[in-house]
Amino acid sequence: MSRQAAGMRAWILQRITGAYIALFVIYLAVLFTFAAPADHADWSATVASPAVTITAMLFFLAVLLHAWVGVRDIAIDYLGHTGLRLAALTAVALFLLGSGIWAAKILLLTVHS
Amino acid sequence: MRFRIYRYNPETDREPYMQEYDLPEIGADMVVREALIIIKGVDETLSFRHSCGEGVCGSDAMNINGRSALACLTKLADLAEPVEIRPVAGLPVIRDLVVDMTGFYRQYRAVKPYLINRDPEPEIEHLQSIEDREKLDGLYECIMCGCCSTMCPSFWWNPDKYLGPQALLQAWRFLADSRDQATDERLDDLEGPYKLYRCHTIMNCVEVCPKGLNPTKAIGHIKQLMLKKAI
Repeated sequence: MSRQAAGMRAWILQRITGAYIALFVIYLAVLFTFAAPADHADWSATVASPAVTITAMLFFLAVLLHAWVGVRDIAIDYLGHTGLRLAALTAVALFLLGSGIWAAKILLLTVHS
Repeated sequence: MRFRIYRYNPETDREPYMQEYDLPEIGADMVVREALIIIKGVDETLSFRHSCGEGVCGSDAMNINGRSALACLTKLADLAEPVEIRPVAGLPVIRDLVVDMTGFYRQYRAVKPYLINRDPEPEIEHLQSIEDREKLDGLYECIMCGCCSTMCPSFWWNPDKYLGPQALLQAWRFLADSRDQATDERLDDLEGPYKLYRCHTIMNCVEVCPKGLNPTKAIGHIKQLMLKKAI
């Protein structure tokens, strides 16, 4: 990550992803309040629609990026030892990457199978 | 009134300790600075900085009942007893309530706190419109007491890398100045994860500034300007 990305870009990324997450959560709240899926088949059909699949994938991407910037901020603040910080951030990066691949697999393979 | 005061003399004490003072002659109508002067009359080994006594020089910043404040502006009537007085947090203690401000001043110098103007020197002065001058209100009044930076958790964790609210308020003071021509270079200097972006809008700085200034707002302005210049 370049020095540029480390400062302003991380900050603006956190804001944009935060706004998107908030909007998507509102969408989910509205959906479950006023048009809750009746059963699993109904829910699968909803998620399988291209618009929902794409916005949900963007949502998971936003969550992962948002989490990455936030955890990195905490690590920079509290983990002064460079090796410790590198190890912690590597572990977090792998966890987030794994979660992202898992979410993509569910959205693309399970729902659309 | 009862006081608990942080004492540490590196030449004689192995570690800091809290010393209690209970002086009936100190009344609630006084300010902390007056009380400390009376205490020093009883115990002359107590060290603290003070000078003007009216919130102008910024010498007597200390941690009073858990908050950075100027001793000369803090009324005893507003404080719970025993009044606990410690040196400001996050800077090395030299002795008792006296801290080493070197790191704080280094961060101030790092933002180049002076006008950078490459035009030929004007014959009289650099003129500024009334509106442009007004943009400096709430920025130039800083007395560099250090209350804000020493109350900032981000400054505690990274005092050598994060500039802190005081220096960033001054960074904006010169970015906002219509006579300054070094905007791009100043913004480039502030890039990276540490110098500016360790601010997490905790806003302790705003809470404790004895001059009522708002470093968080200034930091927000810097971020906005940086974004504007980037897109």
